[in-house]
Amino acid sequence: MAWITTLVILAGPGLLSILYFAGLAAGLGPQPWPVLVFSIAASLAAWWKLRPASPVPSDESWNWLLLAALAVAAIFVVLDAQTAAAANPTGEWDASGIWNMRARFLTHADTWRRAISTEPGSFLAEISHPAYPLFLSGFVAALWSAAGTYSAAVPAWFSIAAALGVLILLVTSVGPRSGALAGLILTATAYFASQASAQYSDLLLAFAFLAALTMLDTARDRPALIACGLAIGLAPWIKNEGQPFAIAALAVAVWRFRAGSVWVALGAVPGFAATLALKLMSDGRESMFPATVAQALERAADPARWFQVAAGFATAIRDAGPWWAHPVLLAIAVMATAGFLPRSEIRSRLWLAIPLAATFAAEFGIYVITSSDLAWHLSTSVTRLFLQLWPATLWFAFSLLRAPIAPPPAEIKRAKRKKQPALS
Amino acid sequence: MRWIGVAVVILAIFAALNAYQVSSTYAREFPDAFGVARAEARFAPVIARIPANARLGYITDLDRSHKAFASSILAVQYALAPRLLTEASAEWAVGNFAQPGDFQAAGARAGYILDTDFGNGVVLYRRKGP
Repeated sequence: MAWITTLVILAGPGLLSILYFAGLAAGLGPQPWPVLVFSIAASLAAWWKLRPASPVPSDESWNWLLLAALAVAAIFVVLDAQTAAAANPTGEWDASGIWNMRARFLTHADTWRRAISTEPGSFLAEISHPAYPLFLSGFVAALWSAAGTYSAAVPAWFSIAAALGVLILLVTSVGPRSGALAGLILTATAYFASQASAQYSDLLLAFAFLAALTMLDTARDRPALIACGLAIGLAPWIKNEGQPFAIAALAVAVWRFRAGSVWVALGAVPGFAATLALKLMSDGRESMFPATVAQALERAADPARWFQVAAGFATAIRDAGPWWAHPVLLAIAVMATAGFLPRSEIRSRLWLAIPLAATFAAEFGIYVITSSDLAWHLSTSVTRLFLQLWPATLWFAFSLLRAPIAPPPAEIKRAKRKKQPALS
Repeated sequence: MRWIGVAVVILAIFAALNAYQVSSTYAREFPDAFGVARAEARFAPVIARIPANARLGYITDLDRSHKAFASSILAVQYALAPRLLTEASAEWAVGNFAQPGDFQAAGARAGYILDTDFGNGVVLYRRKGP
């Protein structure tokens, strides 16, 4: 289930957007149907060749009451997104200003460069961010080109699908009962439901982070390592925040898998190559970056800015849910009562947090040195940065627990894991 | 442990319901919050007249310093994309007017003659000949 979800939400659309963009860059114009057919064929081949041979066995069984509760919460999320999408069919501000706007430019051979460059005199200079990655815009553009119409339903439903994809991946990666609890905590997160209708790239990035980490944890053979690399490589093709994550995840893979990391790097090639090509072709410059190193150092030396950024993140965490069902408090309640794995085992899993910590540190650092008005910059983006990291953080936290609710000891799970085939 | 689990389940469901209610209220109070759907409907006749790769001048009665200027131009730009609104010289221009007025004079000041007044504050201009 996790692999199919990864294919449908991440790998398939990611590959489609890369091929579609490559066709435009090669001067072939929009080629939606050949690209669609090829992407579906490649996705099926990937499913056949890269799917995990034997999923990691869980010591938990499904609890139908928990699943029913999760389904109810998921229905509220979908209703929430559907209501918001009906009121604002083109999504939130950045959807029409950045992601879907650039998708429209990408639908014509004569206009696609408007998606990656700023024409003199254009009103979009400070709005559409032409150097931003093109996963979402390219995917939406390919479907719009194939359909022959700018249907608002395409980005709207993909946004909802990405949210459900994150939920499914989290639940299936953690385990039936614990996963249902983790999923319920995610649905209790206010930003999760609101982003499901926003038509932004942040939930996609959250999906890539979660998929990459779970595969880093469980990859045991060559196909799984390639699939892991694919998820890592697509992160920077989704959003710039994926860059520090991808670098840290690759470094971790080299340390963790040694020679096997070659396959991870190989899987990352499509996403990295597309991102690099875009950055080289685009003339967009992010105004948030300081003009000089001295300017960056001056801001970094200002303790008030560090405090303001920390306060911004704290506020984002505080506002992530109602006080009576705050997702962080719900997670702490589960963790406090479920109990943790033995200390040695926790230590052996801490490396999984490195890519998340690196991403958080990079995001924090960008705020500290930003040239934009700091209060404005925080108010318009920090909640989405929280959401990018939150599902993977939940997964990591739950992976440190003894199985909550389910009584069989975690030793069974560990014993089963030891029977997994060694890296090839 | 079991009671904590039950409490987490119930609270999480109510939190999701709460988010849905907040979202419903917001959707009722702010339909088409950025005016994009409205702009798509208003500028549909322009799209039928102008090729997709065109650059279009932009004439409006909204001052640049007005707080609604940015959201207004973004909505029109999105509605007309992949056509590009530009401040540079262009063969065609669109007018986006919030108030009734002398649209012909507004175009003339920018070097355009009025081609079609589609109503609803939407005007298509053509650049004056040499």
